Amino acid sequence: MDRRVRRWSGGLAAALFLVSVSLLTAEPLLLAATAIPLIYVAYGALSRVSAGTDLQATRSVSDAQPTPGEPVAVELTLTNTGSNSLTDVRVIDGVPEELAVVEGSPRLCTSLRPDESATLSYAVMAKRGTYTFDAAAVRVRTLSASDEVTVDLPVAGDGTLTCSNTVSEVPMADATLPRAGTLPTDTGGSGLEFHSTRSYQPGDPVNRIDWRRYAKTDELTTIDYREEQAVRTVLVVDARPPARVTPVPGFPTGAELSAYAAERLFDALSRTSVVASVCAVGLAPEDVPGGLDPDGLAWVDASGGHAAAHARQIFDSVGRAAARQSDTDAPGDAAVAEDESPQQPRGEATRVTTADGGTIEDPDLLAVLARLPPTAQVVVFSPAADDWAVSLVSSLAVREYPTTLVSPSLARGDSLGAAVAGTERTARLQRAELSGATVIDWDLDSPIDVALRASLADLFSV
Amino acid sequence: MDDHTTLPTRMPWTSLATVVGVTALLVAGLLGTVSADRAALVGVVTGVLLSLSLWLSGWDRWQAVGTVLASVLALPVAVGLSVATGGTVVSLGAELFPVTSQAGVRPAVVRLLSQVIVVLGCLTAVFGATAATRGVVDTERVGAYGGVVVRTTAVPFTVGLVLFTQGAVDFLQSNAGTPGIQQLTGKLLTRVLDPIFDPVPGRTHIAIFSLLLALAAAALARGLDALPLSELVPETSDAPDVDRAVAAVERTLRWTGRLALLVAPVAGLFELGLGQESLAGLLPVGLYELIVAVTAAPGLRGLLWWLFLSGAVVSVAVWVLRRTVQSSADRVGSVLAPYVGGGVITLGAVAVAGPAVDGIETALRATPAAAAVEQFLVPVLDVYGAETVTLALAVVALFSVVGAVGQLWVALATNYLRARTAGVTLAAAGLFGASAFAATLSTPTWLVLAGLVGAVVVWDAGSFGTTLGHEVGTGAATRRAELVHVGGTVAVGGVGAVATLGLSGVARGSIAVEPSVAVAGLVVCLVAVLALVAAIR
Repeated sequence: MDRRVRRWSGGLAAALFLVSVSLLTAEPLLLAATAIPLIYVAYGALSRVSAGTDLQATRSVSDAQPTPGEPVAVELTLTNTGSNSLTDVRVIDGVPEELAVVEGSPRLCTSLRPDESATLSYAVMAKRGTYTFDAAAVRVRTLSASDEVTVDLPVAGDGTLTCSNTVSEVPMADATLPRAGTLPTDTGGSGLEFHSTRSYQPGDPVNRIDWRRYAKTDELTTIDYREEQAVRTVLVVDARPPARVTPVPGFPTGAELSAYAAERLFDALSRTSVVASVCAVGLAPEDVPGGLDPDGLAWVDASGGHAAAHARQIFDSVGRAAARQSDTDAPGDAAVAEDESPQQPRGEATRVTTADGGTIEDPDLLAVLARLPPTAQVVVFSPAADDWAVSLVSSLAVREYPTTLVSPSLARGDSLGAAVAGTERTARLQRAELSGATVIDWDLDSPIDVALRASLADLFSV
Repeated sequence: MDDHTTLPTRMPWTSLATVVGVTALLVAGLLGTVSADRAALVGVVTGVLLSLSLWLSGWDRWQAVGTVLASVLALPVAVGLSVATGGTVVSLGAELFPVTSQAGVRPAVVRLLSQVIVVLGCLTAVFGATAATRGVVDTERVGAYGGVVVRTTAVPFTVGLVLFTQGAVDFLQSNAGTPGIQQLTGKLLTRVLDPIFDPVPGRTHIAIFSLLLALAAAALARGLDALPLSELVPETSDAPDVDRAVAAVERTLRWTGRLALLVAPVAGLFELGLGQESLAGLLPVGLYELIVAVTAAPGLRGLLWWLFLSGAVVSVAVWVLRRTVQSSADRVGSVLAPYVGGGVITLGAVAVAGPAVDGIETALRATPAAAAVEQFLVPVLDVYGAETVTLALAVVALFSVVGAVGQLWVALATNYLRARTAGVTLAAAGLFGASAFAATLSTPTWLVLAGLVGAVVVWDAGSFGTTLGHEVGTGAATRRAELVHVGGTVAVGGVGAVATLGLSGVARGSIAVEPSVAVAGLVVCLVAVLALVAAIR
């Protein structure tokens, strides 16, 4: 697109002004000085972007498969392959709309001699999903800036950024224990490992009577072995609107990070044949394909077929909900969660304010508690942006479920809001720990695998 | 590339440095050619203060503080503007006049005019360049600042008007023997007010009394209604039932008012139609005397008048308080701030009135206008006093600021001056004008040419930088392209300057015709060149 910019038309007015002043004050120099504005007018009128303008662009992405929340460096190299010098080349790289630039600028303005190159480097924050870069917008101006040509320049090299969470390469081997799939309990009964002895009660199995002791003392005693139960692990993802907060625009939200951690753990557990169920809390019916269950939860049991595919659908739904929220919300100081709860499926949903006081009123919490199988161990994934996760954890502790809370730390930057949010979150995690749960504070700077390994090891060694 | 991308439209550092640096250098050079040093310096400071005021009036973070400061700064800006123009005229007038011969008048006037325009041009340039650094010239901000200055001017204007009227009345009154204006107004007032406050005793005045009673009752009921009485009583069971009592009083007052309003016309008809004798005959003697005593008592009238006033004042005060409490502190502050600033300016003007007037008088006495000082200023000072004169001068200066800001606003509102490049355009226009007029003074040719080219460079670098900031943002690397662009503009300007020198050299040697014919010929050539350029475009 070629466009003329009438920049220098003021020169004519300036020339007339000089003539007037010259006539007013009888100063011949000023009349001669009309040459100055007029030469500028001619300069603007005559300069054109030459036809031989030719540019090439190449893009390279440092890590085409990053993990969410990781900055990815992008470089765009622009080369003048034409025969003329370009005095003013402006380029804007076609960064995918969803990705936020966190470092540098995807824009550049420079001058290029023939065969000279200029490189523009910046970093985007990786988000879950596949994103395609658009063509770079390039505008070439003449030296007088009175003629400009704008084109969409196709870019060679890397064109996509894929941020998926396949776990095939995750080193989970050391987390797998010999008796995967069973959960040793602290109660006596039938089993393998010795637990305790007690006096015989009528009806005890004959094979558990300690016959040696009977021979010695003539008393019937029964041996209890440590009971073993099939492990049923339930992964609860906190995707309620308060959890969909992000420290900086473009950074994954707390809900997305929770879903990401849950997905990795789910994959690892599937490989170690632990029976795992997935539950997402706080989604809207339109986020989940097929809608929500009647109790307002998105729940996938491992027992049904295609459990892995269904679980993945739920994790994707969390991402969708977060994206929908970020579309409606203005990005900005999201360090403090605003509970607008337009996505709440049930209108009467209330925010839980205390760990023990307000728990009963929260329908999500009640639904989770009602749905949990009796022999489950629960892993809660929540950024702990409000008290809900703590309430859930303490309610679970009261019901003697082994519970783990994995919490991605969202606090970024040195702002006062971030500091307050961080302090509140620390206090919540401490409360969760005091109520008897294992708390894993996932600092985003360390890889999630470290946190997950800690979580897994803990899970299997209870 | 979208032209409507919403990026901060601040220009990159290199362009900004070019604009500010070139403006500073040229202003320094041009002001060196003006003989009125002090006025020139004041002009420069005024330019900076004006853009600071504009920035302050749009300071979102501390709106009230910004408005107060902008309002208080209005006086320095006004005084600076007056000194830059009037001061230059006065100080140069002393230098250039009186001229020795008739032929010397015209060059002296041109010289004076040129110097004033150079100072004003430099003021505009400094204002434009400093405003461009923060991008403070836009329609909204200029409009807001204009409003602040107008409201600031309102206070000294009102006070000045009151003082002026007082001085005028005193002056008229002091002229013994002539019928003073106060006598006339006094007579008029007496005729209107006497029937209300000081009725003729010994007869009934039921109509006017009823009207006054109705007014007082309505105002009292209004005031009572406005007061938050029931809110102030504690909400305990043994608290007095204020609500009911207040309602009863209010009801009584309202009914009294209505009744009085009904009685007034009837009584008026009776009083006018029947006359006092018939009324006295109609009514029992005791009642008639009671009515006469009550309706003609000046004390009672005064009481009713004060009740009316206090009721009205209470209603207005409560209304203002409610509004104030409901608005944010910042909003209240920014609405009231200009009046506070105006008050400060008024007090300041009154405080420094004596020395200020003495200073102006001394300065004027040193000029050829000394005779006018004796003839006009001294008598005016004698009549109105130094305070009134100082206030009047301050108000006139403030009006000049209002005028200048108004012109700027009109230029912006009509899009004659684009908000995005307004600062650099003003800077360039100021420099261009100042350089052109500097040519008529004893300025070296190179400085004139540098000024003309520099003005273009300032505008070009500024508008280029603004477009760049708009399209690419200030975060991107742009320095190289900016330097190349400015280099190109300077080079073209250099060619223009060389052409100018060549033209003037050739013209000087070759013109043998009458200068007027040469000028006419040059004008024709110029029109031809303009037409050619228009055709090329």
